[in-house]
Amino acid sequence: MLLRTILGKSLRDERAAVIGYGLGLALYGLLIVIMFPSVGQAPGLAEMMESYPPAMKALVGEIKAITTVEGFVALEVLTWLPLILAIFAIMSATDFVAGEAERGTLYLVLSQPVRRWRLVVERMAALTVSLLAMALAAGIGLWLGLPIAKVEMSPANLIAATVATVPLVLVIAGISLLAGCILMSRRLAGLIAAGLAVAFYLLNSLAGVVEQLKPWSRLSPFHYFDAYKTITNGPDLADTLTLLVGAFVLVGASVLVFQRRDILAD
Amino acid sequence: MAIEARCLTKHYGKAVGVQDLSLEVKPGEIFGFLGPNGAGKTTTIRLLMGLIRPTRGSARIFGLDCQREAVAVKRMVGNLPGELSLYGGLTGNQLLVHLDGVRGNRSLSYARGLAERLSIELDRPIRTLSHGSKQKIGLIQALMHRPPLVILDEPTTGLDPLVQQEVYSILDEVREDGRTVFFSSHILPEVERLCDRVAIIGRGQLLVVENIEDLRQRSTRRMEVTFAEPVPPQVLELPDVSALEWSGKTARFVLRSNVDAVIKAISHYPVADLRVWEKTLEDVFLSYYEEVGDAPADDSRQVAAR
Repeated sequence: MLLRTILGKSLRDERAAVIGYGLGLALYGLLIVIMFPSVGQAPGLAEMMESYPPAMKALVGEIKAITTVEGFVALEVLTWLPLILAIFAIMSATDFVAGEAERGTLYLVLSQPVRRWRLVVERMAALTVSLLAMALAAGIGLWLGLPIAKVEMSPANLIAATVATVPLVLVIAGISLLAGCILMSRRLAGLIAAGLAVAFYLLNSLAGVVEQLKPWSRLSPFHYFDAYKTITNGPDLADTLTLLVGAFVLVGASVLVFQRRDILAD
Repeated sequence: MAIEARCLTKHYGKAVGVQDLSLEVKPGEIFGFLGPNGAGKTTTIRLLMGLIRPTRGSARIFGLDCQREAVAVKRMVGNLPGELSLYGGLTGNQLLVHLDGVRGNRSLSYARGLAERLSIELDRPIRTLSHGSKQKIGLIQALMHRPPLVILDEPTTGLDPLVQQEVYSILDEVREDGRTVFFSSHILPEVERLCDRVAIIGRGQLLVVENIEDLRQRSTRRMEVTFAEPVPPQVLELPDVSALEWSGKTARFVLRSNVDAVIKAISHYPVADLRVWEKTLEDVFLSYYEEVGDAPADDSRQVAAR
């Protein structure tokens, strides 16, 4: 039975969100693909995008081949997908430790013979599964749109590209978890994690046009996910590994902080 | 030893949670841990559960260090926290299944038996339950895996008297099993009913550990006697009577030891009314504070429940 483990209970807690986000993202993906022939291939779109000032392009995401379905999906879905998933990741990961500590339920769980690292790892594993399911739903939505829009694209690439956003989101989840373990306040940790996520997004986008920011962009997890390249060539192994290592380090640091925390009942 | 604390100390910033607490609880006894609110009872229990880190000192449960071997310790302990928070979205049943699974146990049939004895419905979402019902679920999760040591923080708060009695007999059974109970309380009758030994803690410091018989001897009660006609005031000047006050035909006083001497003394006169106040733990605490020459006037240094 699902409830007999921490992983299972976390999955159960997240199931409503997974269904909600999943349906929403699938529908969004579907609509974007259906819109592609009329919007993406509309005469003059490429020229219009081209005429945008560089800063504007950086903000909405500069995509070279907007008139191809890959470019269109990269711009309209893959650029936003990690940010949408990040909202859920931040809400969950700040709840794992800080939220449960504030509600007092952490006391109950840690009165059981459970190692603290195990609690964190099981909950992060459940979050990963939920995020994969949500990303997959977006991919399936896109795929279902292909025959309606009458465009050709490898379904494997589509699914792989949406799923490839998950390591990036896991880094943001790791930041949220660490902030929660340090601050033991869900609200504060959520604010900081969301602020950092937006700042990292902007840092990476603006680094394309602001020369001085370029050396710093490697600090942004968004630097390691190129939507267009991912959807045309498949996920970049080195980048994906970098993100996973980053997430792993953040979770490790969270555990170290959490081990030393006093757990109060309220 | 079931519990062995050595110089256990916890400071929260400048506030003192507990200070140099040393304590031994023997296997198979019911041990009462008494003190006013903010005395450090809850802090001590959190230290025993390895949930907070001591500033210094250490505690062992069945020889295992409560910090370094916390998981092994928790396998042997069932704990009801003082401020209980449960997963409101789950039903009682689901919560017990979850905790049973996390413990790696199969003790749900015993849990259901306890639920029946405490008369609680386990199929409603916990968030819809009253405080008392949540407390019952908290008790069940602490007891269901039949741990060698049960640590309960104010177990009967919010329970009605009949259920309290049932809890007492469940704890009696735990003792008959040869298992150990360590519980905090500030209800004196409950302590007298259950405990073999008690420790009294005040302002984070252990004041005394003694047998329940000695505690009974020591405790005082307040009495009020109203006579039907004026009597000579010397009537109540007895060795164990103190704080004697007269107002008209009514005498109020504090009595140490048993009531026998007073009954005999007043029986020569017509008595209109006789009232005896149940001694409270507060009275007991006071008598100990007096003994250590440290009345609990200034409590500003003391942190409350946390």
